[in-house]
Amino acid sequence: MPCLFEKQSVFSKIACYNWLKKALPMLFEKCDSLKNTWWWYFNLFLLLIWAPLQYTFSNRVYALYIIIFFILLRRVRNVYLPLIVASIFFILVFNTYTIDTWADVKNYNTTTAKNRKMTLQTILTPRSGLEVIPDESRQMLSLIQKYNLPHYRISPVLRKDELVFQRIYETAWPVKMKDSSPYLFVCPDELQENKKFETCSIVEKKEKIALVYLP
Amino acid sequence: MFTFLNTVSLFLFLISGVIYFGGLGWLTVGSLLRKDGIFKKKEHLTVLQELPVIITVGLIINYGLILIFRELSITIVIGIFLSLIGLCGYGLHFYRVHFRNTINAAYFTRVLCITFVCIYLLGPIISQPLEDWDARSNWFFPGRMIYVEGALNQSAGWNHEGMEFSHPYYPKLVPALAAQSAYVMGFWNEYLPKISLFFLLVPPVIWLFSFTGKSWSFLFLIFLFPFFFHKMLWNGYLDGYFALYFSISLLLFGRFLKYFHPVDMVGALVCLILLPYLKQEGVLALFSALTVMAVSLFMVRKEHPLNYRAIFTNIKHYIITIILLAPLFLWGIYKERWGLSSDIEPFAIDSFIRLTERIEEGDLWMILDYTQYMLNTALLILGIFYFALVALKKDFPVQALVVLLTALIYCGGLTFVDLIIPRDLELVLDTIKYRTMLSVNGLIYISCYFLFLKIEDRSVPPH
Repeated sequence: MPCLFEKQSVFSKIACYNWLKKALPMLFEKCDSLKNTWWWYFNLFLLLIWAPLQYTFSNRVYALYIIIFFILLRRVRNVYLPLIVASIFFILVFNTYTIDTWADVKNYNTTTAKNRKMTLQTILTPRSGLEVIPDESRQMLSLIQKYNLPHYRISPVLRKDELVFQRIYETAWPVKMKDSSPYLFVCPDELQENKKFETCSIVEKKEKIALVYLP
Repeated sequence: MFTFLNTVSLFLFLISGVIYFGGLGWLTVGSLLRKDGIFKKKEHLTVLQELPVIITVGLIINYGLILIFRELSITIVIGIFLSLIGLCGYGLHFYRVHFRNTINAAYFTRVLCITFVCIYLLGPIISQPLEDWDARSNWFFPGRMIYVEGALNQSAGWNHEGMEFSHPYYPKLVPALAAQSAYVMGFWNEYLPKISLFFLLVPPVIWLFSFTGKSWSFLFLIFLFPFFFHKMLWNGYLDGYFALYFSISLLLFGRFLKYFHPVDMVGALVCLILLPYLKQEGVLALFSALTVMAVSLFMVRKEHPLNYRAIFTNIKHYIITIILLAPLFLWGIYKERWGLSSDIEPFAIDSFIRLTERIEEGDLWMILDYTQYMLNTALLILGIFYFALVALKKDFPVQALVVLLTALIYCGGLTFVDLIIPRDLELVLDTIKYRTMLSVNGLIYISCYFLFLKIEDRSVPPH
């Protein structure tokens, strides 16, 4: 079996680097005296764009800090690592969700460990967890199950609430929402306001939902 | 007593799930990872290099089986049978190659760390019910449909009136996995299907710990990954996992550019191939990453000539590639047959008209403004590392450049999609943009990791 890779060497020798070095000399040129090279001017120019740009993006402290940071690193080079590490971790701690993630996960795990019996029971119980859907959807779902409806539809008022619509649509599945269904869910207020419902029979009325039969 | 039994059964289910995917994966790519595969005889892989590759491949193969056989019951039986064959092969390989090399202190510490991170994140994954909007509507409702039907068929109801909100044309790897988990356990609720997220979490965590080193840069890497994704790791959205796999693929490719060890390339490609199975943007991610990878490999062709003849004349490579990409095309065929089409059509005339209108109205600036806001922290860190590198007179590492170029192409692609999307742009930017930009953030952090390594005068840890 022939080997795929015939040669291996260190990164500094790879052609990509050499190619880029030729193509972008400003970016890759190394020299001892920075002040006299394009490299210096290019990066100084970049810094002078970067800092004001960040200032306009409301990162004002950062905009000033990056200039001080650059000058400091040029002058006191023996302490560069603590300076970089401190700067990075300051940004990470205050600007990312990492610490929040640790704290949130810890809270979830602590709660789970404390109520492990109940949590496990919930996880291993069919149809558990439906308390997260809106009350309207939950009441509709309970009525669908109670009356074993083959299909249903919801009033335009309920349909306007996208969350209620999507949650009942998916939790009631495989009982499907059909425009031709005589089983209609409405808000209790609609029953009083809309004369259309005077002739229909109310199957059951709940706090936020009423099921009517409207053939 | 019942609590103990329940805990044990849950953990057994999780462990057997991971083993199942491992078996399926080994059966498919085992021939590549074996000693007589694409490696030189003196090289050998550690268990931690092999495991994430075979588990990820197992996830794809399992999805492929569901698409081929459709019925969950048949898929599970065939899957277990194939997995057992794969496990026998892996057992033999393990005995021959790893048996004596596995147990040592460093390896044990890594395994302990991986186990800790996985169990630490498992808590919120299974203790929190599915609550977030798109997680329910786009990912786990299709899972419920497959579970109720017992199959990934057209009769599951993909074309039913009102289904548009669920985007039935989206990839179905995670929904199918969720349905399969519920099917094995025998019921559906708002907790159990989320176990599918755990199976997705394991491979990236193993990969991350293959970069272990006593350095600040590793601390930086592990501080961010996977924790900066916050609730995207457990709330049922796939954007966090998508970004995680995308970032890991470029991380592995960066290591490949250093050592040219084939397992890193295989890992990077497997991660990339998984992306279109997670989200629609996966195709764009695959395109942008493969383009940059191909260009960088072309540029190193003289210094590091790959044996292209060995790659392109080996029928095994074609077969594995076809197997891994087959589910993508199969789902495409089903979508076509079932009449499920995406609302985003990049090459349609309407899209072009929308593009020009939005550019004229100044929407491009609004999108760029949002993009800058979403990338703010990552860019601040990138700025610090870049100017530190300049001040310390160090070279810009090619790995960081490759990752940044990929991020740039991908971000450009997303901006284009935002300009042609036939929905309310402001709503899209308010509700979706922060999720899609997670991948770009992840890539920028990966490039920062490579810059940090350079600043520390360190190399990427070999394995």
